[in-house]
Amino acid sequence: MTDIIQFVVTALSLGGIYAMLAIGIALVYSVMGFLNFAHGDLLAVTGYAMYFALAAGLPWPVVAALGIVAAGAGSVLMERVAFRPLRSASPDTLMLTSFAVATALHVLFQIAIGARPKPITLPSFFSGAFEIGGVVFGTMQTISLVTAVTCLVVLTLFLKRTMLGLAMRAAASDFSTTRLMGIRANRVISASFFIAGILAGIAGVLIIAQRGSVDPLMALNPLIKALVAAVIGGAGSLAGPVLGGLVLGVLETVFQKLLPGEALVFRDPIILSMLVGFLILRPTGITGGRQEPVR
Amino acid sequence: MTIWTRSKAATLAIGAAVSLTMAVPAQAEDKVLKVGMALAQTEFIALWDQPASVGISIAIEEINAGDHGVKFEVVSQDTRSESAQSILITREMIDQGIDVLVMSAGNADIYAVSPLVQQAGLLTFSPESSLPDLNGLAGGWIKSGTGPDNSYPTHLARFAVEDLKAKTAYIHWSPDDPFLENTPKYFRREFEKLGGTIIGDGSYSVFQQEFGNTVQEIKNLPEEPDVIFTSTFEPDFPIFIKQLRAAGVKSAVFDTGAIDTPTVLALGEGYNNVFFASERPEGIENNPSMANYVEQVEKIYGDASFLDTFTLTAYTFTYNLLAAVKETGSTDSKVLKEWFENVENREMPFNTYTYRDGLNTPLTTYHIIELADGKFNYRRTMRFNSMDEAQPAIE
Repeated sequence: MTDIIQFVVTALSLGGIYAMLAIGIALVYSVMGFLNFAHGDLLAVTGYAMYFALAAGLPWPVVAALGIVAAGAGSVLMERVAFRPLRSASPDTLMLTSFAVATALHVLFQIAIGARPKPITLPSFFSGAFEIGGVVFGTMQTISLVTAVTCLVVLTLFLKRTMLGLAMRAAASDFSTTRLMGIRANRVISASFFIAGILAGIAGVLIIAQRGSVDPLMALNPLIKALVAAVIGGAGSLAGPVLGGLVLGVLETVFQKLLPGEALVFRDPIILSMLVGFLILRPTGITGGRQEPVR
Repeated sequence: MTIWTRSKAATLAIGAAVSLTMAVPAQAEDKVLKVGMALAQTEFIALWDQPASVGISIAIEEINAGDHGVKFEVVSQDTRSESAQSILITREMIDQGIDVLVMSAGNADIYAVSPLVQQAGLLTFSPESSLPDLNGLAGGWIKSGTGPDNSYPTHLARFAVEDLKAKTAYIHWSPDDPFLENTPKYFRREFEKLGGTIIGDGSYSVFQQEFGNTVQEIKNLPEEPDVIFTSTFEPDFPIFIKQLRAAGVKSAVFDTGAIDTPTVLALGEGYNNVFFASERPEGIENNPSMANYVEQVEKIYGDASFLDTFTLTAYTFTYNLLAAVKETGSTDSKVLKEWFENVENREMPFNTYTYRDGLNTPLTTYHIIELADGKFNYRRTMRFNSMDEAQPAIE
């Protein structure tokens, strides 16, 4: 029983982080129509912002806040510099541009800051754990889970209860008509990138709190996971990436637990095969919905 | 923004170091050794190659500033962690007439470049490679600056049994990379040979991020193992040890890699009973002959915690190369190769090397280091008892 509870907590905390990243990808996809492969690099932006803030002697809460804001600002800047000039281009062009942005950021970090991981020392509180009924709950694991749930609730409320949220949902549904109704495209798109960046920043703080370091390539693995989550769950809705993230968290934990050691190397290929299967058989993901956003 | 300035300065310093070496005018009587540096400055392998590049650049700057009768002339290009790029750059550098090539630590790069350098008869160094295959590859033209894969785990197994009196161990390995998969096997082999028992094993994926299940598995064992041997490296190791200690597992934790890195040091207080093996000797910081090295590393990285094995190995290897040129009086690749092939128990300032008998990953001395509250305690110095031990059976 303790194993099962531990399994569920692990799966949900992992899935929650993937979901936050996947929602960011889905938000941008909804309004711009392309999968942003540079989205994961916002994790590194968060990490380096935290590293420099810590070096400047700022207190931990300020450091975390700066990390999150840096990712939001970085995301908006990315849109302004790389994607806005190409807004009328095809989604394929935008996607290829996002690859270029990601590569440029990797090289920039590696040359300007260095290839080696930079340590980010966190308060010891984050490394703690507590035990309930024989099951050990890591503090970070629990914080990840609670944060992910809170973010998803807040985001849902924002999208449903605010004018900007409504505009974003409308734009995701039919951008042309939304613009005809007087909604400013730049504002909606910038807001989407900003919120996606903030979510990536929060996920980044959680990931960095677990790993204790930042390096230029740290985004690669989480990005792939987030893309898989977005596709499996369905990038056309808010529920899709959340569901995709949780499914991915569960699958990874199940494979980690059940696959014999020698077969563990097939864990990611199995998950990626599922991705291919979804793209062929159900490209709109589990939740269905629109396949291509109208821009 | 002090660190940013330092980091920018770091990059400039690396570039400047290389440029300076190229600019140093050789006196008429000086020999000139043309060194090609085909290392990854960007993408995945840069993690290992950048420190190597820094170590070599510092050493070359020192050598060129001194009066050794030899000046090093450097041509350098980024392989971008791509073996195809390594091949192109190597070809280009061969055409430019380099005497010695310093290449990437990437296994794929080594396999890709080996036919080229063998055919060209070009002495090549991959300072950070511990690839066991190196002993039978490229006709001995590629040599490393560090010991083979089995060095760390064998020494650690001996230390566990002989010093810590460990009787049981848990093995933690990854199928994602030969080093991460095989080093726990070397540990198991030696630990069992010495009478120890492996009471469990588990695997992980690189960049796994979450080790809750493994930790629970270890906690579910009938008894807590005396030792947990893991092949996790950055960033996985700090995550693993944090989750392990948070769950109350007190076993000694052995890591297969040289984890004397800033991120491991930054774990700080509360992380004890963690051991690893490293070629980095004790007291570098206070060694007068290392004053410039320490100063340069601190200047480049902005932090003394970057005085780790990777940078040091490459630095030391460059002085081995200087010794080869000085003693043979030649810059010819074939002559230098022969010199290395006769090196036996050669004492350099920070290690003692044996390349004889076909050892391309040399027999070197290791130090068992304990991480205790963010500090390194040197516990024991170890070296293989025979040449055979340094030629591991390839797993």
